[in-house]
Amino acid sequence: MTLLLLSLALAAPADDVHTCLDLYDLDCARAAATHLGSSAADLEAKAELEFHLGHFALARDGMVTAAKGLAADIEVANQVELYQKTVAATADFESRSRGDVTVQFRPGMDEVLLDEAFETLQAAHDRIGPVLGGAPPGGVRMELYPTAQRFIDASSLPGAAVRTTGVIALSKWTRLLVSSPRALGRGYEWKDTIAHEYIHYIVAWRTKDRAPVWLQEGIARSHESLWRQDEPAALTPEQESLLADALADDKLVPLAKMHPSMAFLSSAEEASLAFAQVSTMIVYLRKSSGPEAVSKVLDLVRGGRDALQAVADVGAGGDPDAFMEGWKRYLGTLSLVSKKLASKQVVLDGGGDEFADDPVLGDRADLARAVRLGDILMDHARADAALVEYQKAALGSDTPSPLLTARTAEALLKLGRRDEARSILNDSVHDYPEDATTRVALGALLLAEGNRQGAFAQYRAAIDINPFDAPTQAILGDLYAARGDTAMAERHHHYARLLQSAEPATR
Amino acid sequence: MVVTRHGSQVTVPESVPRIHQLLVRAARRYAWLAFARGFALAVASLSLGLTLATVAVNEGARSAARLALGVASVAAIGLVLRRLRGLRARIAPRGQAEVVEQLRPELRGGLLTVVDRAERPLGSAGLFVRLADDVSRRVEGLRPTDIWPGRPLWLDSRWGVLALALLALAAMKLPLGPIDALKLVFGTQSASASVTPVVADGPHALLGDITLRYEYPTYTRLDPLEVPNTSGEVHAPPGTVVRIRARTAQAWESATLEVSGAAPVPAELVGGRDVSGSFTVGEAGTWDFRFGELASPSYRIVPDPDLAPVVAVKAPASSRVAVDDTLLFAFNAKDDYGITKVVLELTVNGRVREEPLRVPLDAPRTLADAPAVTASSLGLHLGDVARVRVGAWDNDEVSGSKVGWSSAFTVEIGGAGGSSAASQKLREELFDALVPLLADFLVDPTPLGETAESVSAWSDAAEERYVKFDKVASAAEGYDGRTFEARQIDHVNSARRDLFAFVRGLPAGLVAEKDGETLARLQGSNVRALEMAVWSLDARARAEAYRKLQQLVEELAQEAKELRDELPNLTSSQALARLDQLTRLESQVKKVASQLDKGSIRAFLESRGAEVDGALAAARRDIAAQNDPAARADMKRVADLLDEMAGGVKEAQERQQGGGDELKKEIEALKQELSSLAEDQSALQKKTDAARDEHGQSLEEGLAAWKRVDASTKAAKSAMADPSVDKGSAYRPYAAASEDAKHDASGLDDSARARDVQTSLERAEDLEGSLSRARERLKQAARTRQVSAADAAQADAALSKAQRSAESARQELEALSAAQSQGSPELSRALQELSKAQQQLGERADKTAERAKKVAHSMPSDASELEEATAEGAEQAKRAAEAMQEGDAMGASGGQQAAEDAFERAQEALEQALEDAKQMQAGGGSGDQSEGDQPNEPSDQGDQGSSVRQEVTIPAPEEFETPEAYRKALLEGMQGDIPEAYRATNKRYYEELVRQ
Repeated sequence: MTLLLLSLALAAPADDVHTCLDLYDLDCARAAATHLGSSAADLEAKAELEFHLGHFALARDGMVTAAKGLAADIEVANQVELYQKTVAATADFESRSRGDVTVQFRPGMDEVLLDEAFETLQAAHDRIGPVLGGAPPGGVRMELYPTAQRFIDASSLPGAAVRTTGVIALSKWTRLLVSSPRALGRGYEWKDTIAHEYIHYIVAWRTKDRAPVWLQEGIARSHESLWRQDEPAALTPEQESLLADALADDKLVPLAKMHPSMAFLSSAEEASLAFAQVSTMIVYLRKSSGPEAVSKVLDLVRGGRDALQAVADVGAGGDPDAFMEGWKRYLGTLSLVSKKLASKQVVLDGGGDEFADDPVLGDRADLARAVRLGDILMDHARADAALVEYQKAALGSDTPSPLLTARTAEALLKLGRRDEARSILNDSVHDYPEDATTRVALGALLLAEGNRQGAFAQYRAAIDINPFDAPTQAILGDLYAARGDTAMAERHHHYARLLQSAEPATR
Repeated sequence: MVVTRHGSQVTVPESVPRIHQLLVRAARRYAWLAFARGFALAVASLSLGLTLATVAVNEGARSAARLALGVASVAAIGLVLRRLRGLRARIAPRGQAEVVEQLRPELRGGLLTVVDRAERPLGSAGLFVRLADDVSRRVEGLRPTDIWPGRPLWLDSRWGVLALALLALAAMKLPLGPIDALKLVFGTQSASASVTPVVADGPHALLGDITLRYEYPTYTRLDPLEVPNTSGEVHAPPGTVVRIRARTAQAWESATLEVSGAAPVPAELVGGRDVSGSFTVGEAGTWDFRFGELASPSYRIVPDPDLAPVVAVKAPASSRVAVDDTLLFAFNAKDDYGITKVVLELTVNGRVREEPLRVPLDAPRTLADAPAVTASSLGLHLGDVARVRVGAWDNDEVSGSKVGWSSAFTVEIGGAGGSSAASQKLREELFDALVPLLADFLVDPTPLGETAESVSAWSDAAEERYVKFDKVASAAEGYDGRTFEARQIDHVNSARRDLFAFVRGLPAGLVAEKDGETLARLQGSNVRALEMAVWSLDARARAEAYRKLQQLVEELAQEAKELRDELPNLTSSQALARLDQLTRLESQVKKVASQLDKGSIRAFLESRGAEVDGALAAARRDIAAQNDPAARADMKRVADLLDEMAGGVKEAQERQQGGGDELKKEIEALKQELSSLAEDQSALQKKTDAARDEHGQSLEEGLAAWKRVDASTKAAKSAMADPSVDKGSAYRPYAAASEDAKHDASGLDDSARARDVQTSLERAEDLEGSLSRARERLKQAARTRQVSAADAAQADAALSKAQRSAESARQELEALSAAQSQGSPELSRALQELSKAQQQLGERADKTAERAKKVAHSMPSDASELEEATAEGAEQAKRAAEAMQEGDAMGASGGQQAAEDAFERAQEALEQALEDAKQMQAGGGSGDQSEGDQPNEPSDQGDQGSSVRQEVTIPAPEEFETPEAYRKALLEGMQGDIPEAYRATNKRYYEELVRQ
């Protein structure tokens, strides 16, 4: 710190601002900015600070002015372009703040995200920050982009990379850039995702942005659920399966390949495997050396220690190989089940038919054809024949399809085969917990059977994935009312109304 | 009656002269018959002898001819003498009386007594009178023809007629006739063909041996023709160069050729007598040679006219089509020598113009086509009434190109919506008819029944399911068979026919395992056809919905932007009116969106639609409150939301249409890889064949052996196709067995054509077995009289013939198999070396099969054939490699051929799948608007025309770079006689279909 202060004392104010921002320290940057003058370099530094603070129009204007006084520089030109794109992407945004959290969003349907976004980020700030050795001062700023295209424009990520890997949220420039669940056809686990991105912010700040991607992602993935529970999230069945297969085939993703971003991995599947690897490494670290171990690692990395060495120092007496061996032994204790499951397809901004984002049918037009025929037969009240088509589609792939399961269950229910329907839906929810459609189908079945508790769990999980389903919001509101939670009941009933009218809300 | 004999008077009964007269007449007849019979036999003998002599002379055996004639003459004399032997005795009254006595035994010697006593009167005259009267009464009514019937003469005459017929045949067929033969035998003529006599025409110079060589104009593409020993008369199309060679009777010093009175041109004279010259045929006229003052006779020149092409057209005399529809007509043009172009002549409102239809590269003599030209592409407009005819121009380069015209037909042009709306209605009706049909078939049990009777009962009920579909299909009968709708109907009906025809042919009783398998496959095919039809119709409807949606959303977004920009200049009421307009447009978007499936695009649109609703409501409120800044912000929001909607719809539509760029790249790579595999496989096969030729198992030997196998298999197949085979089909067990035999014969033929020894051998054995069974059952049927003996005999004859052929084929195949297993060590080594490349090709093919599978799974249309054919190609390529390892050159070559065929078939399947996909997406086509195709009227939209435009068409030859390229493509395309069943060696399905 002394060195930092000394260096800041000796450096120009603009450099001071840049240095603080590089260290993810907004308070420091603000303080340094008070000494900025009107030179082009100072204007540039001020613009950058405004950009980090989410004042995009100011940032753009400042950068444009600064650019006039600076020598022609491709970086400056890129900055101007990025700022301009961000202004366009957020032009109709509004800003709301609660506690330590500020959210920018487009009024309208995305308002259904606001309450829970605030709650999630505040909880992450309060619960995860301390675990990692503290949260950055000055709170957290998040933008909720209504479409993936706007997110791509504002994030500077290549569109193709986003579409390949499905990276639809980012922690950058001391802000969280997040796509609305609406940008994906059936939503995604957006709450854990914003917590995840916030963790990146914390880690970057804590390590002076020295943590490599694998460590960043490992900590973020393993800790993303801590805002709502005490223990790290379990691996998804898909990740479990990927990890089991990769271990068996010795095809783990090298840590170096995860640099500079998971978004650049060759497929969503490989990205998912990488997340599973690094997540379990951190979980192993916590289990072997206690929850505070992660914070210690961050301290070491902040001090310039190699990340793997730091992990080994804390978790394995300084021997990285021993740590990796220990981690693999730990994986052996997890009884990973290898079940052939597919990664969800990335379909952004409505760009596909109803099967496009299904993990299986998205790639199998031939099976999708059978499912479509089943749907047509269902529409013609021929559940018996529809079931034949669905079963044909199911036989065509070793990997279960959540959408197909939901449709099959629907046909089975029409035919009065309730037990079979429940059974396959339960299996599907286990295999693809992030699929809201299956959860809604199971919730409806349980509700029809009078199992309100079970139905509530499914509807709640479904809304956490896809909050834009008005009927489900209404049912969840009813279930909250039945549980006596009038505030939550009112909230979800309001969301249901909002989704149906979509006028900018003024509750 | 009293007569005097030897000086004494004797009384002769009156009946005696009557008897005598009868005997005399009989004797005359006998004599005539004897001479006639002798003559007939003599003629027969001489004719036969002359025939033999003629044959001998033609063979150059003159002495044999003499001998034949000599023997024949002697035989003729002998036969005549034989017939005349004993004539004197026979014609005497007693001789005739003896014959009559033999004919009428009841005379008991009476006639002989009367004849004798009439010669030498003895005994009682009274008794003699009584006896004579009695004999006379008994022979009364007897005629000479009764005594000597003509039949023996007829019998002998037959020999004569037969021998004369042989003689006539020899006269007709042999170069030297009987007369020539006689002349040669008797030394009056030498053995040479008759020659054209030298023209000796009074004062003319004598000319003979005139040979005309016709060199036709290039455009006729006729080969030169040389006609020796002609009469000199020239018949040829104008422009033909005629070269004349002739020989004069005497030597001349110079010669000229004069044609139709034109100035003489020098003629070539060799040796003073061989004269030659040439001229080009133009007008009718004459030609002659001139030798100084003396001319040869004049010979006629008759030009054969090159007539204008004849054009036939098949089209309704009068029809009405939509402006974007295809004109329904086909033409067939023929010309003597070639057609250079075909045009369509359109007469609209008295103005005549031509539109080119075809400009063939190689001027074919016959050109037929059914061009898919739309009214709009011909420049026809709504309301036009066009008189149309087809004209073909010939390639006459001498007299100038001539045109021939077809009869005319009339076409009235209607609006685009007319037939498109009808097509859309038809598609909807088809969809509604097909969905319940599919549902019923999907839930049918498998197997359909244990016995033929239960399956038949199912079939009766199942046929009823088609009532609604048939009604719709019959309403579509007037549609062009190339349309999307007609093809769906055809596919459904085709699979249906296969299934029900097979069910009808099932033998009574329990369904045999093999039949059960076939039935299940046909049941599956029928369901698949229904599925594809339903899915295709649905995909088409969805594609149309996407297209409409795209148009509507883009229009909506544009409207919103304009309203946003113009808002400051509008009054509140104007702004609200524009908002209402936007709202109406948006409600159309919602309506169309509801026609889409429940997927992400619909959710996306609903979500964005709700937001647009909200923004519009806010804008309306702010406009009403005259809060302009807020209203403009609202409108900007509306415009942005609609932009997002348009972007989403566009992306979804692109995905619908082709699965994205990645799939397109995959398909392109797959196409190239399949093409490369086929080429490489072909090259490897050539190397295999070359090695076989070099080191044993020569190609010629192999081919000869296969030709014999082919002949036998075809004979077996042909015998089984004989209608007499079905004569025993009334007996069900026989019917089943004979069907099996037909199936096996067909399978044998297919595998033989694929040059697969082992499979062919197995098939031949199968065929022998099934034929034995069929014959056994046929016997049983005949025994139990369920089939008439005559029918059974005829059927058995055909079966027997098939069995002999099958046996012959099997023996040949066994020999081939043995020959393969005894290849030379050099051949084995060569094959071993080649096998590495083949193995690598097999591995490549495996990877390609994986790629094909991926593509097939990703394509919106049914590409299962692509997947299967590529997998089969890989399998066959590996089989070929194995055969090479084993030194089996023939097997390797067969596998290589099968692999190449499979790769080519995979390419075709890929093209077909792409075309099908395009058809399904036709509703989402280029979006070009035709007249009357208003975006605001979704119900009137459609694109019947575009569906026709996207038909699979055989490219016209001129679309190829060279005629050779076209011919090659055609030849390749026309090799339809491929072993269809073989390509599914492991699937007998196709063979079962062949059985239908």
